[in-house]
Amino acid sequence: MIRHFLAKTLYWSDAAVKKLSFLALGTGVAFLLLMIVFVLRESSLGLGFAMNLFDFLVRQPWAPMATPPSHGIFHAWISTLVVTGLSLGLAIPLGFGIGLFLSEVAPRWVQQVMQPALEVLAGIPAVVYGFFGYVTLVRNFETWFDMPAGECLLIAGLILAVMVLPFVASTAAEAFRGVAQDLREMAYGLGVTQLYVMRRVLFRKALPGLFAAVALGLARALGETLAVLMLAGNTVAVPHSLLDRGQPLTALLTTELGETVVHSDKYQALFASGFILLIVVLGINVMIWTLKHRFLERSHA
Amino acid sequence: MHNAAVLSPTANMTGSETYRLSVLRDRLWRAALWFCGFIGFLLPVSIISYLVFEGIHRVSWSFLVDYPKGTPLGTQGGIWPAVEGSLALASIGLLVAFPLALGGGLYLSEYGRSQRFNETVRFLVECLAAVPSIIYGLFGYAFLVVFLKFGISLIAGGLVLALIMFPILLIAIQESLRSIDDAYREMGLSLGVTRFYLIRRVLLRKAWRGIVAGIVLAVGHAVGSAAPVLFTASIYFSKGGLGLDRPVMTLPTHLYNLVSEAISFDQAFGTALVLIAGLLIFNASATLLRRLGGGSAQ
Amino acid sequence: MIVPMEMTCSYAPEGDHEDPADGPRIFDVRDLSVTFNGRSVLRGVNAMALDRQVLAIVGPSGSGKSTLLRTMNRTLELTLDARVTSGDIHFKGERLYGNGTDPRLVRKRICMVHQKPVAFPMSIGENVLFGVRFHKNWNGRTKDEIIRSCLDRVGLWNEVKDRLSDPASRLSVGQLQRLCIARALANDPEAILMDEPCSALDPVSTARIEELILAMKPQLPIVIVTHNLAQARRISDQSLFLYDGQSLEQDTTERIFTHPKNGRVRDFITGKVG
Repeated sequence: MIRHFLAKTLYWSDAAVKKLSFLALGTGVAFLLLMIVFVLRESSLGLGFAMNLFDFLVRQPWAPMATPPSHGIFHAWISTLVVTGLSLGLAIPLGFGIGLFLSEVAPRWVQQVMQPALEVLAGIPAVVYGFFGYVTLVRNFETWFDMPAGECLLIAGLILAVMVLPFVASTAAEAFRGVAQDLREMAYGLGVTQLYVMRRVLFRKALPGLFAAVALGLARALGETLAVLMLAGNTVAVPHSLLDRGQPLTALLTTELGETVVHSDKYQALFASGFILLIVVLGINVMIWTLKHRFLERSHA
Repeated sequence: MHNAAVLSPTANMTGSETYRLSVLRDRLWRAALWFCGFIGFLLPVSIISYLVFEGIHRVSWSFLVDYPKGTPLGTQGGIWPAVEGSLALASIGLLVAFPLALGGGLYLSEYGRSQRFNETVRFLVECLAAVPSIIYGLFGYAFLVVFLKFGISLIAGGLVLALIMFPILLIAIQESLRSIDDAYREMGLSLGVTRFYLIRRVLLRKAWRGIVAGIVLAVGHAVGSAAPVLFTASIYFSKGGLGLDRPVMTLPTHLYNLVSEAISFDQAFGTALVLIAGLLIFNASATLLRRLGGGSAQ
Repeated sequence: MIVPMEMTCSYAPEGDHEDPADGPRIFDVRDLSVTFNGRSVLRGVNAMALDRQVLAIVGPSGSGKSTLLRTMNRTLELTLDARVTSGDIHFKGERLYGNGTDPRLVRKRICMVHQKPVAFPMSIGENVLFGVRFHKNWNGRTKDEIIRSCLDRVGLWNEVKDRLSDPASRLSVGQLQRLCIARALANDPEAILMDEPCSALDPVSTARIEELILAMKPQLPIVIVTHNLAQARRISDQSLFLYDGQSLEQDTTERIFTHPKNGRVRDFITGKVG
């Protein structure tokens, strides 16, 4: 009797755990979806968003104090673009090189040293990178380039490149390692050099993974906040050169949000730019997902 | 060999001019790759040693446990309220996120029976893991601080960090459960036990290393990030003491303030070193735990 | 497992011995030992291959057949921790493991066909040209001439001539294996090594590969590893029997399959041991 009861409770508790775990999953995911909806809600109400998209993105300056106030984010996304492009332009070649090195060239003990080193690089908080960039580069730029204040897009891009590097490198290494050993043996078996195999076989085979590495780096660089906030100079002027100061989107959000009246036009403009950032990053992620799936399917076939 | 001379061709094992050129190119390329690897090693080592070198003389026991002092405030004294605030925020985040992520991970890998449902949810979670933390900050500000009227407080910041940690934890938990051989499940369930029993007695014991790795990743991410707590939980200075409805100082935002307001670079070096060292020690001890801990390795 | 000394090696490595079938030795494997991470895999192997003949390496699985084959064009060292600890291989009188021998040039002259065919991520035609583009052994021929002649030799030309620019991954496994052979032939090799080239193939494709081996034999020495004794009998002139990393016996295929001298070889051939 008792045993029967016990068994019943056990089975019942299994069902309960199943329901609870589903509930947990549901709660978590629901909150995350709520986030997207809420950012959208806070942004588009009253802005006539779709109508003014061109004004918002290109034509108007960011001048909330002017009469009448205007809230365009041209300077911000131009800055974001410059900083992101610069950082990826540096991090992608170097990261692919490190990936190739780790997967093809490095002896085992070197790999064992490099792996944690890259993890450390990835684990350093953004604010520390910002601080590091400030005390090393910003001060020196003031003397090297005779600038009144050293912050500029170039520095932000450089530091951002270092921040993105470990992600690009380890994803690229994974992509190269994923190429079947058979293929390598066959290629080397024809008496060609490593460079030739990398160029003709490895790169093509690892291509989806390399795209994913780029996309991952791009998403990281776009959303990075603290370092660019501290290094890019935070000015609403549109930058004209790499040594100009600028204000990437994330820096704009961080600078302005705390001092903004809730549900004012400016508040909505800030959330609208946040929403654009969110959509871009989600789009990149959809791309990574499809690449990964195609990659998996191909390696199964 | 008596017949070698007959067969030996004019081509020999040293190769032609073009071949030698391509071997040279290969050498140069390999040297370039070694150089890339060297840079990848040099960067973390030089950044960390620079911070240690510049910050070590600032860090002492009293720096850790003292309150910010001096005029302007923060030029003297210690960083205790920031340490306290960072720990409290991360703990609240973990306390909220871990049960949810564990349940979610278990459901996705053990209970969920619909492939399509599982993949859709996993896709959503992966997308959200990639969302920049500043967006979480925006949401936390608009929803928790303003809409729910939590104000800038420990609880609002903790919940935002929980949201950031949830997808990271969920992915780690699901992956480590998924890497367990299905044979364990079949063998276990064929003995007539419930799934929960199997999970408790077998699967979690096999998966705990991966779960610990996920916790380290999530906590490291949460402790280090300033953007989401900047306008949900943090203030410039607090006299210490924690309350769920009160704002706190955190290490990253304190460091940010010290630098951006140019209060004290000396103190900033100390704060950065404490933050970095704390994260590294936390990481290393978790690695040690995983290496030494009982249970079978995967 | 340790094999008593008197059971090992049947074939005298030194030159005073008159070779059977009066061909010159192309490969001369002398006292070759190989370790994997300290574990001994080949122990003092002696073997030889003659010109314009097929040498079959047979023996139970794990006896080191593939390892021996891979030492013969220096692809062994692609495996981490694999090391030749003693002995050498002479190819047409040149030492394969001598100082200053470039492994890539060895591989160019001695090509390998693997068990599982793999397409490089490029078109069928480019697959054939893979080695040529590196070694530049055009010898006055155009791209198309090389592709055509190599594919012709493996009997693939008529099947693929209209889709040379298609990705090679679209071929069937049997076709792919022939493409791999064409890829090797494009290198103008002086010998071909084959590592169980038919084990992934169906009987029809297997027959085609066997025909191909017999057709190539007049121009090239071929060394083939096979676990299929019937196949060894069908296509090889010489057979080498490996057991537990040692060469037990080498002789003409005819003699080894009818009058093996070694007891273990007899047991294996008559099916007493697997």
